[in-house]
Amino acid sequence: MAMDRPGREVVGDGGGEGLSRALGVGAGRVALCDVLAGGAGVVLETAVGEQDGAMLRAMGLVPGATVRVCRAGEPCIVAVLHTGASACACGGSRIGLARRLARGVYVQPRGGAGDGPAC
Amino acid sequence: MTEPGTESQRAGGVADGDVPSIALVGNPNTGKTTLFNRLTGLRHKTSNFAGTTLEARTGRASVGEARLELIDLPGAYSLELEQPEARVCRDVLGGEARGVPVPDGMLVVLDATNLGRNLMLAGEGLRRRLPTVVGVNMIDLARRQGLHVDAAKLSARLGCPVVLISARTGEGVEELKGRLLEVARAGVVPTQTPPGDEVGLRAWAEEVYAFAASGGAGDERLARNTDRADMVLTHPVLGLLAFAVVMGLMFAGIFWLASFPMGWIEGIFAFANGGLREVLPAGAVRDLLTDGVLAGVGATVVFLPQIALLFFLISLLEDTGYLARAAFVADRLLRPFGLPGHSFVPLLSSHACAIPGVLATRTIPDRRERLATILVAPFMTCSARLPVYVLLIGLIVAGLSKSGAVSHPALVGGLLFVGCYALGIAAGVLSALLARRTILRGAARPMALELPSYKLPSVRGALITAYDRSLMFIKKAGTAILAVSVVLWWLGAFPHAGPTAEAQALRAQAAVVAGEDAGVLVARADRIDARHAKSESFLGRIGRAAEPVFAPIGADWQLTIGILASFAAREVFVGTMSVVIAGAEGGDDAGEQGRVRDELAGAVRADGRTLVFSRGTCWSMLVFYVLAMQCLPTLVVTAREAGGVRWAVLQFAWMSLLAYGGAMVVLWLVGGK
Repeated sequence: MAMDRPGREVVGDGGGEGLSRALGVGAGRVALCDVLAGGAGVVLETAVGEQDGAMLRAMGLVPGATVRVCRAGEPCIVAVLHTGASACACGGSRIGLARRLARGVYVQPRGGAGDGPAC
Repeated sequence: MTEPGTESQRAGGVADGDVPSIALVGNPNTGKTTLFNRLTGLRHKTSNFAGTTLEARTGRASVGEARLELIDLPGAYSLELEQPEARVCRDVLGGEARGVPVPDGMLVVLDATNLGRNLMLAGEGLRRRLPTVVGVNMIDLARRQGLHVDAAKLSARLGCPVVLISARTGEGVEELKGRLLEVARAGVVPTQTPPGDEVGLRAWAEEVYAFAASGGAGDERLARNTDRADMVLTHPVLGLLAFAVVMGLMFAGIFWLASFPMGWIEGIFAFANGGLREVLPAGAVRDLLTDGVLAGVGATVVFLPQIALLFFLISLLEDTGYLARAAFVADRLLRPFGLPGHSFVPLLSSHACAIPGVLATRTIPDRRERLATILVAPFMTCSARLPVYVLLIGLIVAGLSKSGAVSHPALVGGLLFVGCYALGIAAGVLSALLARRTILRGAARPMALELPSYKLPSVRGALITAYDRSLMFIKKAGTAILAVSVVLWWLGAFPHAGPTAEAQALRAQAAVVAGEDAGVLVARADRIDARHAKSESFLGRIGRAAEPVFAPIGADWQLTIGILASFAAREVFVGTMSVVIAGAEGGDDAGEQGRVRDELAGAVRADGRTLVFSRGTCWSMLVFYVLAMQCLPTLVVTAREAGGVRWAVLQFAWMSLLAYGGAMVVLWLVGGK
């Protein structure tokens, strides 16, 4: 299922605001805890230890999943929009994440995350 | 592990007359429990999986003439995780759980609106090689979001029957039951075995999803509404405010609504008590039934409406999706004390009664955090403490206004009430912190909390939960408090002391005077005999023997009787003190209650000068009753829920120690007189 809408402006709070305080849009790798509210990205890896990583992946934060940060801070809220290439975007799931976990989830900042909730 | 087969394989199956057992497996928030309730109705029982604090619900479902035995396994995101929920699922499915035979079949419940992720768990389930049916739940919601799931295609890829269902509306549930019975009886295992490694399983789930599901561009309006609601409800400040309002309304509603049925229950017990007294001849049997059994059971059952309402409303809130947001917000408040946001509702519930509070800790995923919450829940001011507070704060305020120390007694009384609640909360959270730093040390499970979508709650489910919890309360607390009431009654009633000379003289006097005066004299004689009987009873003797133990917190032998009696249930303190000092419980009559209160306030100790309820003693008793563990039913429930008597012993010892120490310090600060 192609969920992206090409041409739509990226990330941030609706005004092209940076996805990452440190690296900005287009940067290679950003920790989820550094993504501002409204920013989206594709999960690259969950480097939070074996057990916590397995749990996060089981909750849908798998490499390739598209996520959007609905609330930044400690704890933050992340909407998992696409689980992998073909999974359902509707509804999806929202996860409240402690900073301890969010700082180990790395995402590739992404534009046109599209159909997910406009946080 | 068996490799993929091409055709259904028989795994034994179940004989026609036998009842097949089916384990329900699913991610949290898939509506698995709603489905279980839909399938079993009230025909279920709740216990714990052996050696764990996880709830095990088993129940029976009818399929025509046949029956299915259902086991509701804890919701797990993956069967392979090193978490108690996943371990229990693995143990039960593998036949390694104590007291649970290998199930004859498995029902994997998937959330249609989150099918991509849910299919991972389905894959893990299929690898178990049990006769399996997959139920795709919330199909009505998914349709509304434009998602189409093709059951036949999904069934082909999973190699087992797939039924599209809605546990909420009942759609597909009958077909599901039929399919479950079929596969369990025939012992048909799935024809597909998905890959065992995480990456392979993920690829498999994606492929299955792409093959069997389509559409689902998403309901943008729904997403926007969810965002708006979350913006407020999870906001650091607004979220807390909303939380305070929701909880405030809920508890105000509970106390207000419950007061009506509580009144009826009290009326029924008073009526039964009066009836028994009239029907039965005076004697030990009558006293046992009225003062022991009825009084004890009545004192417990009266809290039932509060408990039923509490669980009904909590269940409704949970179903709406709000409770997860509340836990998210409360996490910030409780984390500094080593407790998770999930602890908030149990601790709040404990302000009605610690028993439902301890039962409500089942929603706390981490074992250590759950144990810490159970240990400190009884510090919260429960309804049973209120009569004691009313008496002691009344005496303190009366003393203060008599000495001219305060000009607004009502305000001071109110502040003291608030202070008692605050002291209980402070003692609770600090004790939790201490426990988390010592005996329950260990890293907290960092928050990874799914916030389910908002939806209309299921009243039916909430009713079933309320019924379930109420039954547990009655069974566990009712039986324990009944036994304790009978023992207490016996200790207080035996050995029978004969009438005193003073009372005999009064009665002789009454025989020669006429009218009302005679009645007054006889009543006085009865009170003198009641006091004497209490003082000469085993309880009275124990009170005198134990007086030195409680002297450091300001108690004389009479107060010691009250304290000892209330170790089983603190609400008996006021009644016991009334009988010990005034020779009567006070009754319903306001004038009589006032007389008893005045007698309590003016009662003196053995030295004939010092008040029983001296200023210092009132303060120390108040602190003692805020902090002390005086509720046997709660200890029973703690032992069961925490998985060992040692936790109940620890709870009792710690709270008693803190209460005793606190009361001593307060007595020293205020002064003994």
